[in-house]
Amino acid sequence: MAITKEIIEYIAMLARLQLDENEKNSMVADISKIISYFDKLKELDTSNINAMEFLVMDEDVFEGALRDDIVGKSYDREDLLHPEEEEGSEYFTVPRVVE
Amino acid sequence: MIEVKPMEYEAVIGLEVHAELSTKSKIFCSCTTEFGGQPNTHCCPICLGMPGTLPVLNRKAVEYAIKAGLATNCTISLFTKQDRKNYFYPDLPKGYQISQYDLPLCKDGYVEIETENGKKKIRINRIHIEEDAGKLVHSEYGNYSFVDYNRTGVPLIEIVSEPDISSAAEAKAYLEKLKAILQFIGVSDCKMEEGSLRADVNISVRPKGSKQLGERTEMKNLNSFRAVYRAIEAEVARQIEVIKSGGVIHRETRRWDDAKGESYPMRSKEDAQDYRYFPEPDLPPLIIKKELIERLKNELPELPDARKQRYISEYGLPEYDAGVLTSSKELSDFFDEAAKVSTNVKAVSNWVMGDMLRILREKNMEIAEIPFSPAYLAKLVALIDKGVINGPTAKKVFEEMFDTGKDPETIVKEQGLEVLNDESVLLEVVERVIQENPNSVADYKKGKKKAIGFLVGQAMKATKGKANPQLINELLIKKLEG
Amino acid sequence: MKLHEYTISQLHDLISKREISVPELTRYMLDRIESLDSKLECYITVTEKQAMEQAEKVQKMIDEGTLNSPLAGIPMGIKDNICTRGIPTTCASKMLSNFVPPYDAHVVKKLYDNGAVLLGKLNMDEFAMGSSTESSHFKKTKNPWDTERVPGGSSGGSAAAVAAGEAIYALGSDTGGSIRQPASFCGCVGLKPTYGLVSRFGLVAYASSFDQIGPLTKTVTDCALVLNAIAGHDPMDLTSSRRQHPDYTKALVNDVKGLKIGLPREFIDDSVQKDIRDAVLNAVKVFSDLGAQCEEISIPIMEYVVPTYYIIALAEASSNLARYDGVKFGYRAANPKDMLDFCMRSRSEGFGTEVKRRILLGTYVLSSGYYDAYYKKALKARTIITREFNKAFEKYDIIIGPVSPTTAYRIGEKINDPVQMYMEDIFTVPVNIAGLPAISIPCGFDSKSLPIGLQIIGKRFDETTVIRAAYTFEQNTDFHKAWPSLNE
Repeated sequence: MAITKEIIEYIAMLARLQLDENEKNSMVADISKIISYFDKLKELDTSNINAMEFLVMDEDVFEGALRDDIVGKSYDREDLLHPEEEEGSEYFTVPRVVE
Repeated sequence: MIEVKPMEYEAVIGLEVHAELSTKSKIFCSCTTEFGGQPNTHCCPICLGMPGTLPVLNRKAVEYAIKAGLATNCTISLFTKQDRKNYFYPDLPKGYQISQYDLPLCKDGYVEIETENGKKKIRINRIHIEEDAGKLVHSEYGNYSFVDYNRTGVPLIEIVSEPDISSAAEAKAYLEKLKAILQFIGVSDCKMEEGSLRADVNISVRPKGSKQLGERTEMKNLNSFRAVYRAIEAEVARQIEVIKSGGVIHRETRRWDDAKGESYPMRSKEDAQDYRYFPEPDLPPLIIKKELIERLKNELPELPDARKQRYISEYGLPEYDAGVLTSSKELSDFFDEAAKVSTNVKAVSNWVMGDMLRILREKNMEIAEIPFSPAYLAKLVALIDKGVINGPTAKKVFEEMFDTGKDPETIVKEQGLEVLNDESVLLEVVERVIQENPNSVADYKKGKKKAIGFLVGQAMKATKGKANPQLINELLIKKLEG
Repeated sequence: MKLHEYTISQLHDLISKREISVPELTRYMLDRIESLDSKLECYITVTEKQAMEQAEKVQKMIDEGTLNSPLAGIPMGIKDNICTRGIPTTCASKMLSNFVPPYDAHVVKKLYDNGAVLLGKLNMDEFAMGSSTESSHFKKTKNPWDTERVPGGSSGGSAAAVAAGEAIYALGSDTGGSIRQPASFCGCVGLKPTYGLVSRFGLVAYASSFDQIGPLTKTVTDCALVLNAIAGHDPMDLTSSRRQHPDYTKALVNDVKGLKIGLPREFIDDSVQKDIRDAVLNAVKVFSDLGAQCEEISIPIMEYVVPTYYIIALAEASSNLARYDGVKFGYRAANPKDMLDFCMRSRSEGFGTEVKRRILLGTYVLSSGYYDAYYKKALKARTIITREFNKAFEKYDIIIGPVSPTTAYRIGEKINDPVQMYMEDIFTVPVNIAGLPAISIPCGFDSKSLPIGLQIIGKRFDETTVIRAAYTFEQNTDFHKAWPSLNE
């Protein structure tokens, strides 16, 4: 399937990336090339193959690794706020969001 | 002449209910889940999604979700994983929500509700765990919004029903049942006003009897059971209206404005709903052992339906009363405690459903705030049954208990509220009343038997309500007829 | 011999014998950075003040006898995608140029506990996306062997710093070869541990199911010392293993007799530069002469490893990098029109071209309609590739081959050909796909006197055999002893 400018625009919006015309054009070219290289995978027979195998650990995650429900200390707000927030700010400030 | 019957429509409704789990710490970090707090003080690098941080799943959140599944007759998945739901919103720190996609923790359950046509099963498609998002505060002036991430990462379960609901009333009954169940099993406090229980509603309509589903809309921002009820009524009416006037329903998300009593479509220009779910690589899939499920099953307390059944069979309460008493865990627990030490459960039930709920409403109090133990209510009932106090006095004592938290016996003793049963004292009162009310006496003697009521009232008044009215009645009649 | 040419174990000896103090050594290294780094540009941040304070503190603890680690007082550098509390961690990106983490990565804590002295944060490809360190927003690190050439990447700053003696050792991260390939380009030792051996907490995520932190060192002995310090379970990383890890210095045994070694013929085909093929075949001979049993094997699945790797890695990356929206940390666009504009411009102005390209690709392969054809297919391919490697390991103790089909290339030579760049990861990515451990050690020089790396791949959690083979090779060859001239 050919990568069109419309597709690039669609995924750029999904990814919240703004591209100018030049960038769009070079992305169409590069991504087309890369995707057709990825298309090689289609030759591979993957019927009856488990997709999740790699992520499963051979250890008991539930009993062994999950957290106990214990409250710890939170961080000081000053250490967490964006460096550009004004002195004394209690929040992360963003442009007005219309809901 | 052929009569054309107007087309009738029926609503098809499904609910997506989000309930915050009442763990002490968040789902992926150890920050507190406590409600409130100064903005952004219940936060750490993990719940803010800072670079390099990783989620560590809270075991209790998984256990609570499994319990919710067991209590709603779900099958618990023995292999489950978490997935990333990718979308941008400033209240979502990582740019994705860790949720569950194709392998939810619980699936294929149901709950039973009461409808006007009897019992009805509402099937549950799935229950999965996910993390809550933060909160946006909008400034009153200026072009800013402010983000508070205190709620970010509070564990949630999302309970997705099948579209088995056909009316606003059923939706409300379903929600009330879910709420009762989750409270009974102690996995969520379900406080809608704190946002710990939220519902999104999918609504479509179709000609009655049709098998095909109509296009649906999703209603958001429903902050109370009342809002759910009203929003469904309004949306069903709106959709029928659109179809009747030749229009079509578009799949869209609508936002309910409870003040205006109407909904409007949410802007969806930037939202191609393409969440790009994929397995969360930071959290290995979970293998849920059968022994764990068994243990959690054994930990489940008596559920609302079972308790209701017990009230009916064991206490002989009417089905309606049993239903009201089991509609909330706190109410039911209060009743249970009182009933356990009472010999007159029916009376206890009446007190709970009547005066107690009334006083709570008047005082805007929660059951948890009642300053006396349920056993005191049982004592109050016993005082009446033993004839130590009469009904009207009991009501006064009960009010007093809410104010002071004192034992009813103490109140009765301190204020000398015992019923006057001393015949010699009462005889004096009766004689005085007869003397002072010749007209009523005359009426009575002329055959107006009702006049006795007035005379009893006068006698009660003279004893400040403490007299045993039965005894007064008997003495009066004896005097007047004798 | 100059101080910067010493290994960890040699310096430990000098420090123990009080022949040099930790502050003296640290000062020496800072001075060397000062004089050399304007040329090589390995460091994004040099933490001079903290380093000297740390050096004093560590010396005091050594004097008091409360610190007794082979790493105590040894100056090192850390790749700038590993979080250091109070010290900028930029990922070589404009996006994080203002980011100072309020926490340390697990490995950083461990190194500090061992008395390590941090010299600074090392350059890399932006968000570790690249294999030449050219996509750094800040600077282009030069290869110490030829400053016209790239050091490899993405841990190019780490490899160049170790090779040039601007750090005694360094930490890097390896998602698809990002430790091994620069190690091979710069002629040092670089180990990518088994997935799950080293905690990822504090490593800024690129592709979560591939990323591992590992050491870049001058020798295999140093590699074992650093690995000992950073390996082990971390409750903050659910993918980190809870199994007990061995003492890797016990694997420093000069003996490969009876070791079964597989050499996949796909690793030495015509795509590989001839000098590299020759060096690898020479390595086979070295091992055979020392009593190992070397056999040629075939891993036909190799032609699918690069697409498989990139599809999964970029899908994860597109999601991992969604957190950079200007709201909580990182670059914020000025004068936004509205929220959407704020988010879009913060991202578009904060990320470089290669990062954007990879985010778009990752978004594409996950998007509705393409998910099954690309992402899901690649997950299944991952299962097949992993099984094939595991099958090979039923017969062989290690698999060897080149690290990269080429030696270090010229700066700017390949930057405009992304497909070519991706394809050259072919020998390193299968290791990440299957979560295996692999090391790159010097095994020769090409006709231009550029270093060549030998890759030794082991079974999951069998770093011991990898280290033993690497150590034996090192003890029986001299390649690791060469130093770049640097016109000093």
